[in-house]
Amino acid sequence: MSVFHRFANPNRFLKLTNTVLPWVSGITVVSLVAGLYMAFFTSPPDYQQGESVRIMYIHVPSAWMAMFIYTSIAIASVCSLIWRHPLADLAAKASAPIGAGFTFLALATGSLWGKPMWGAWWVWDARLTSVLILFFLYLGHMALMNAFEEQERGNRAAAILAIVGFVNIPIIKFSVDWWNTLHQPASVMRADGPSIDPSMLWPLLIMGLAFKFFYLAVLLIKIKSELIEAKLRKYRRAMVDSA
Amino acid sequence: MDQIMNFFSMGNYGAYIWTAYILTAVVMLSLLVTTLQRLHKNQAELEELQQLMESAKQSNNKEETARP
Repeated sequence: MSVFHRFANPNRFLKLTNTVLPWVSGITVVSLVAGLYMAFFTSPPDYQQGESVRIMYIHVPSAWMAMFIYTSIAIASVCSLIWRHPLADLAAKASAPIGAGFTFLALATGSLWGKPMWGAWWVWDARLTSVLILFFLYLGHMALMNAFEEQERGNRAAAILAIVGFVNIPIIKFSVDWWNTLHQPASVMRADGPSIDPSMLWPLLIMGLAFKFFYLAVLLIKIKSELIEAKLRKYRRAMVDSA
Repeated sequence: MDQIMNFFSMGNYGAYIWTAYILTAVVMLSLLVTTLQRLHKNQAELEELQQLMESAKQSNNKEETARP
């Protein structure tokens, strides 16, 4: 609990952010450059899908982030409702647009991959439909956060939506096993280990790392920005009171 | 030259692949840029407000000392 509350103090959190941010940004850039180089130059074309497999190196990490960020928001929402952790609402609020962006990218790059491989931009199979629902959950979360005069009520409503909507995450993950989908089954996170060749697995994992650190960097900047906004509100109130 | 053309055509999947990559770059960059713009705007406002409060404090002090 002590670590959990240690960084509840905004000033301490800002200090931590300023030390960590250069490292997070550095890892993002390095892994992005390395991942892109491997995705285009060292990884081979697929024996069935040819060069189109290179869309995988952005499609799959985007889909991972879509689910990872939603899970983070659900956890932050639990922390906000139970412990009233002051940074939990800020983290959830800052995460939602990033998650929505990655979910959009997973859908759009998937569509661009589906057209040449399946012959269709879109099919209503379980995987695609459940990810589309995830995208709407993100939009709903963002709308609820700003729907009330009192920020506190918006935070609560959005937190409840995030927790209830979490049921969609296992549905997305297992949709390819539970239903007959056009979308291919898991080839990295499998019980019996990855079934994908290392020459493709490595660039995929490195791109996944790059996307994760990109999220972390943008999240930290957004929280920092929100903390400054809170300070501005406090100052303005003090000025109005003293005037 | 042929090699470069080959690279960009990506086995005739170029249109799909490059659209996907450009779209990803656009979404991620706009997330980053809007976030940074907002941070810089807030930082500038905070600085301005702090200066304002500082000068208000000083002028208050002057008024008080000016009074006999």
